[in-house]
Amino acid sequence: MTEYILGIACYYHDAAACLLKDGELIAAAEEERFNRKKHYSGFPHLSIKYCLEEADIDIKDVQYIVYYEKPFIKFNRILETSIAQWPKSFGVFRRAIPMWLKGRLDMRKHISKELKIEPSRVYFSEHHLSHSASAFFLSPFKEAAILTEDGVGEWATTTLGHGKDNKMIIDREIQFPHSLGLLYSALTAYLGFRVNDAEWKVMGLAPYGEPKYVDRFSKLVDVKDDGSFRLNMKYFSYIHSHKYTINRKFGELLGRPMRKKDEEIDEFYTDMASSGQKVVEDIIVKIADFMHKTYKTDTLVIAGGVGLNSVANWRILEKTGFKNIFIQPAAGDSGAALGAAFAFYHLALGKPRKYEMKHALLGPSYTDKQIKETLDSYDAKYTEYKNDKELIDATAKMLAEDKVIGWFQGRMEFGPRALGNRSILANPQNPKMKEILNSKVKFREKFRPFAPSVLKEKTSKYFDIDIDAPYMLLIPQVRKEWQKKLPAITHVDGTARLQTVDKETNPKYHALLSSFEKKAGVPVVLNTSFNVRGEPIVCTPEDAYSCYMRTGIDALVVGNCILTEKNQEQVENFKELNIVYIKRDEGR
Amino acid sequence: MLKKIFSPLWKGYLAFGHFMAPKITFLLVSIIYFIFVPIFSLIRFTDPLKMKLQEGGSYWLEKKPIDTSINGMKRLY
Ligand SMILES: [Fe+2]
Repeated sequence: MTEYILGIACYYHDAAACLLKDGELIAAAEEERFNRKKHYSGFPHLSIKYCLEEADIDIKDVQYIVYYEKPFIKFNRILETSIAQWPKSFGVFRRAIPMWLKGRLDMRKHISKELKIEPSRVYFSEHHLSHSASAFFLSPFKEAAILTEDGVGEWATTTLGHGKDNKMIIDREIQFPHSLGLLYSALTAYLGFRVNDAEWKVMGLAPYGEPKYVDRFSKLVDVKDDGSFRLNMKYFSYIHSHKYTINRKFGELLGRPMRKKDEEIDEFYTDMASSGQKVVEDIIVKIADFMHKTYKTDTLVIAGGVGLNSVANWRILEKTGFKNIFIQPAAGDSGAALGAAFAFYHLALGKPRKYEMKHALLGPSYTDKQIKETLDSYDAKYTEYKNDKELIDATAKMLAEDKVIGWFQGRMEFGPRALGNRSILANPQNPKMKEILNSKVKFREKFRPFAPSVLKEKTSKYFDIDIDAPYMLLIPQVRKEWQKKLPAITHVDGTARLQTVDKETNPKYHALLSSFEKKAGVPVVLNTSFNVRGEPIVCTPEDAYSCYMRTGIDALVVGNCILTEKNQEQVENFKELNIVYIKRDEGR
Repeated sequence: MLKKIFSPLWKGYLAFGHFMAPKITFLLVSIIYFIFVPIFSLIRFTDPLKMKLQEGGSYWLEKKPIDTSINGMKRLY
């Protein structure tokens, strides 16, 4: 009998679901993509519905449903923290306790009610066990050291462990409130950005500054030689507050109060971003160094939200003995849904490993017929191509002519990055392309870099890297001679958050890059996510069409159709109504 | 006839309940927080959140093996 396992992550941030069929990951998606609510954390009904549709099964056919954390342990942490922080913790206590007692605590009953299944099919995997499993069991490695680093799960915020074949142990941890993720969130809040959303901005801003304030920033955290650390909690508020991450003393220590949202990002804050990033990187390097000595392996796998800090990941490769690295592309909490399912499959059921995550294209796809029906429903003008080669050549030609392209193909990516199936593409050789993209489409801060995609086999000609980087989680240098020739993707410090494109895993995108090389001379395109600032990445052809109509994207390449003309009346309607969410089943 | 009289009354009662529920919850939670929680808070002499910084040594905590058997993963804790 076919064995199905459904992994679920929700109720913190980035709710998601995934489905395993006999140990193979066949579908995974974040709920925000379906209900169009960024970082949606509620129950992932639509993601589950999608996973079941992908497998053409009913929830009745799923033997095991695995939730990504242990609710009692998490509740224990909230309770203990409230008690220890009395009377400052009233705000947290007042909100959390009724919510937990109302249903969150008995998650088995809650899930079984939401899915209309018997409670006996519901299982639980510790949060960092889920993260660890998402990194190790999906990696190509038989043996590895395992590092997880996030804001917080139940109690753990950082764990170290080791995996071999279908076994895994986690033997060291740092517990809440001491957390690298929350330290980085504190820096994000201090710089006036939104926590749990804008950590990318800090990473993008850091190279513009100098790490002048490392001494001051280091007072926030006591770090030992083995990388273990504790935060100096007198500077932080998150331990007793829902609203505030840091307190007044944090600003006093660093020399200026927290930056206000609309205040200019001057040299001081830029240098502070650089200093904070450096301190966090140094801690991560120390941890990795300790792991290299302890677990005696050259291979490291990483998951947890801090694993999305691609600069820190790169430092590990540069400065420690680790030679091989796999970072779960959905390193944040959505990816813990994968880990929960895989932990159950290998550890509880004892099944051997057979799946390797070679790409992150795990979401829904749409047939040419569905795409055409959508376009026709809007009376859109489009050219239909009968073969891929013509479509790809026409797209590459437009790219070479500096057109901004909305590229919507195949299955949607799982994880926070667009990797060539829900992407906005542009010519990286145009020195003005960053400004063009920001003014036409992305409307985001000038300091944020854009990432490149490059043909895997030609990577080392353009970038100083000799391993695969398929998920934009490593930041090598753009080779000196190419930095000026690829200005739109070269960051101020000469680095790029690279994606290597493999013919085997994404042939159509690979073909596009090859065709672009013939026309423009480089097998590199600028690849940014297909969305407008503040919105989730597009999921359906309707979402893509809406984004195309509301922005200055020059052409939409959706399936085998290319659109280059916009009905101006419709454009005004889309803009006026701000149609982001196109009617669909609501997530509850 | 009776239904006509009682239906609006019942609806009103439910609306009142909905209106009062968060207030009663708030009151109960406040009583628990300000009367019972401090008792636990005061009788604790340990440092449950390990807030104190220490000279030398290591902050790594040993992680007890996680029970990943089917029964272990069945548990909510
Ligand atoms: Fe997490």
